[in-house]
Amino acid sequence: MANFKVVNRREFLKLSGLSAVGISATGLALQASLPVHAEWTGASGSALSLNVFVHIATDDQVTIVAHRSEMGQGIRTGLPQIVADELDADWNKVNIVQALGDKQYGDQNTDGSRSVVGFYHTMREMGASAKAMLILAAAQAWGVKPEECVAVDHRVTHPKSQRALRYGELAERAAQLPLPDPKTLKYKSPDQFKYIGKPVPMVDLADIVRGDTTYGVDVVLPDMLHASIERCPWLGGKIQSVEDSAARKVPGVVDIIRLDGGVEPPAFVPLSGVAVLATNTWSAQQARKKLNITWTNSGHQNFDSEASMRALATQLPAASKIVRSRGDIAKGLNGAQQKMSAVYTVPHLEHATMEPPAATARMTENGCEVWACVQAPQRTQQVVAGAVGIKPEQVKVNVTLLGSAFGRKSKPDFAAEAAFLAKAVNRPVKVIWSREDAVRHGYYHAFSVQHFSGGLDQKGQLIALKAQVASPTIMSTFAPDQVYLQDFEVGQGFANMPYDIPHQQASVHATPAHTRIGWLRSVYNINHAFGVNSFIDEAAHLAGQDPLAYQLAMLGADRVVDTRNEGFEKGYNPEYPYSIARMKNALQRVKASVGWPAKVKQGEGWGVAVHHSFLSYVAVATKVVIENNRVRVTDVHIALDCGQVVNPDRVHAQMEGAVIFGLSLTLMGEISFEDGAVVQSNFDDYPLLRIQQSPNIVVTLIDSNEKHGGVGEPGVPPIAPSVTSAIAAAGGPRIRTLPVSKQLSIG
Amino acid sequence: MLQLTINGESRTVDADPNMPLLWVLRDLLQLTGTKYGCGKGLCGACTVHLNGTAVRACSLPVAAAVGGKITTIEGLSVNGDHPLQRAWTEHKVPQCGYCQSGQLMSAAALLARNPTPSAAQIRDAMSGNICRCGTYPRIEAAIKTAAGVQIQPAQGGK
Ligand code: FES
Ligand code: FES
Repeated sequence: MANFKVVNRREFLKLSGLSAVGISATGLALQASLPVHAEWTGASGSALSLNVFVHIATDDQVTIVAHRSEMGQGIRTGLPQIVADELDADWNKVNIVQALGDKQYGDQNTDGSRSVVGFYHTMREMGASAKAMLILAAAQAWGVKPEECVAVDHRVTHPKSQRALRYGELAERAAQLPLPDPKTLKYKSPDQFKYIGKPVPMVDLADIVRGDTTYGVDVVLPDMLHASIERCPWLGGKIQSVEDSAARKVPGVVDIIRLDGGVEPPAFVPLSGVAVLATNTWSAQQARKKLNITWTNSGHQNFDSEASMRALATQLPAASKIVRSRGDIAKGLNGAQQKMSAVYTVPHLEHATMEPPAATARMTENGCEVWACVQAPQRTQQVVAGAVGIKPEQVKVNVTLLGSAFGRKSKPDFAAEAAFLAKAVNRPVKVIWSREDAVRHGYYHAFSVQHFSGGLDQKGQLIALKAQVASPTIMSTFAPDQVYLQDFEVGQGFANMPYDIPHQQASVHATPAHTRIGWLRSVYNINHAFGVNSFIDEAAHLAGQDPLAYQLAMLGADRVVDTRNEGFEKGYNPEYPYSIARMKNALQRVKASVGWPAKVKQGEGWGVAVHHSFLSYVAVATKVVIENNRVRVTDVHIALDCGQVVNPDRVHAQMEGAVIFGLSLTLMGEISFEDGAVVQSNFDDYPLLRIQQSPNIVVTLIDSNEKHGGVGEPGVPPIAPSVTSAIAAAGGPRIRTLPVSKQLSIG
Repeated sequence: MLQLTINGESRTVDADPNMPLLWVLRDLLQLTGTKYGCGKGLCGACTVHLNGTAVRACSLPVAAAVGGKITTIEGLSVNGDHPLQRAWTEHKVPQCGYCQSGQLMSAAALLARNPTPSAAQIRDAMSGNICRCGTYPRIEAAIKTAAGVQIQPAQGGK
């Protein structure tokens, strides 16, 4: 390589006949409007219209647009890493810029663990397309055939004549070229990857450790006011009266504004509230305490979540729908040697993002500009537009870093609040939710009450399994009178249970929602993985068999799970078949990691669970120690098969994070409602796992050539049942009602 | 008017003496590296040093910081090269990063008073800092790495 001649910029200009005049240092867009791509199956929205992911400046800087939101999963690094690899760019000369909310980037809604799943090929295409243009530009400059040129390390070279031009030198000419036909693009083979599959550090790492980054809470605009909003404690209430004279006297207070919400279904519309606007956060918070507000009643004011769940645990409503049916459940249960039944309960949960919801907005000549920690910037355009009465195209959404998100920040009600207030006072406004606001006015993970009955044959194998669930649906947040779980919800491990059991029936029971139900990391998989894994573990104990061997036996022969002939149409995905072989392999890998069955002392126990979600397979084995009714989780081994991997270090980090997240909800997570209002308020009564409770975590990342699966969410669901099964194995109680802290103290 | 010494610089602010130091830093001085997480001393996101000791800025009235030396994440080192910042980079600790200013400030105060802490001492000193993303294993590993490194006294920066 050393003898390739690097043509300097002056020579290039001579060669190319361009004058130095008119060359700007700004990035030149390689307008990559490549053809429409089918979106990942199951995703919302329609086709992609793609362009402008790659810019190259004449000074050699490559700018890659990150169009998905960074919330700690590393996507601002991962997707550009793919582009840079196919582009043969030097990572040290790559800048990442965050995209505005804009349809031109295709789907920007960063949830469902599908950024890599949905954009791996698009990102490669963006890189390969830009590279093809640079090669053609060089070939034209030299008067040679493009096939004789190669791109390597931020340059195009012509080996025959030993010439080379840097990307920056080619940018101007390349930007004039038509887009290559995507069918003509050449891609690297995996052995040629330089960045894909490598543990590239996060692009924001250096800034984060210096505290020099911008999250939603950090945006500062000239003349900005700080808002703190008191909201109606129950869903659907409206403002009846506001007494604000004392609040207005607090120094720093500029205005007090009503947000007349209370609509149902709530969707993403701001809740009813009264906003105090002040010159600083503290004044706004202090004045807010002096507001005297009365709210109107609503149909949700008597909601008592514990009483509701208790009632559902005793008796399910008759109104129900069968969502899957295989064999003859009555015959299977009646013919069983041994019968068993159990009820499993998971409460409402709140996302508890470390950074609470926060947004800053100002009205502009042409519309509205927002800076916010949002997962869905295009949805934010729509919701903000609705709040201030303009068109979505008139809303400019700048996406900050997200101080964690877990699904909460894909609901942009907080951005709509900021925009509404900015319009009302005609000044820039920043809204920061307090921790109490976030805990009490969330979009909650749905509680779930699952009734299981099973029948075992003489060998102890489950031959019949009846599963019934009562749980509010996310659809209730968006449409009236929605009381049944939807296909996409029961498809998360309930209507598509993988076990090879001849007689099965699954049904959903009418469950009205009394709060905003939203998706939280891993969503209904949390509930369903807990129910079904717990029941399988209980069956193993009843049969006197090793739980891990029993899981393997019940999964049965290698095959693809397909429920289309059993009444659940959505239980089959031709592109990503649900593979029992991969499921069992994940269990085998965690078995090997632990050395299962491991020796334990008195009071110690291991539990195991396995779950498929977001196209990936995860098995978890957990060890607990119980002393004097106090349980401590000491070890968690987690094995993940997510197909091919872009950034193994970030995948490891996601598994570590999934373990901690899963332990928080298993051991201590509970949002409860009394009189329609959330009881909890802050980290004292809605605790999260702390470092001294953090177990030894061992991650196995399974080598795979399968298509990419999800990473951010699939690690969470098996955690809870692995813990509660470990507690039972250690001689503790069988915990069927989460969190564990209701029955044991947590060490 | 209150006189504060922040990262080696003298700053004058016009604030209610009861205003927590957190909001003085963030809203009045635009030092936004220090984060809000709970406002009640429960999460550690707002951790800064007052005379070298880790304190929760959300729960400290600004008046109580007058006359003391305040260090924030922006002043932990001049070039982001405090041994802990280097160890954080080496272990790729952060996920979303939001809690990390507070984590680093708690860890820096620990190492300043105990340069070679045991695992239990690390966990004890860091028990007030929540990381929702679950970076605890790497935080512990990074502190152990940094503890083997000579600590330069923190200087006022920026
Ligand atoms: S914000 Fe100060 S401890 Fe949480
Ligand atoms: S890195 Fe996200 S909260 Fe700690």
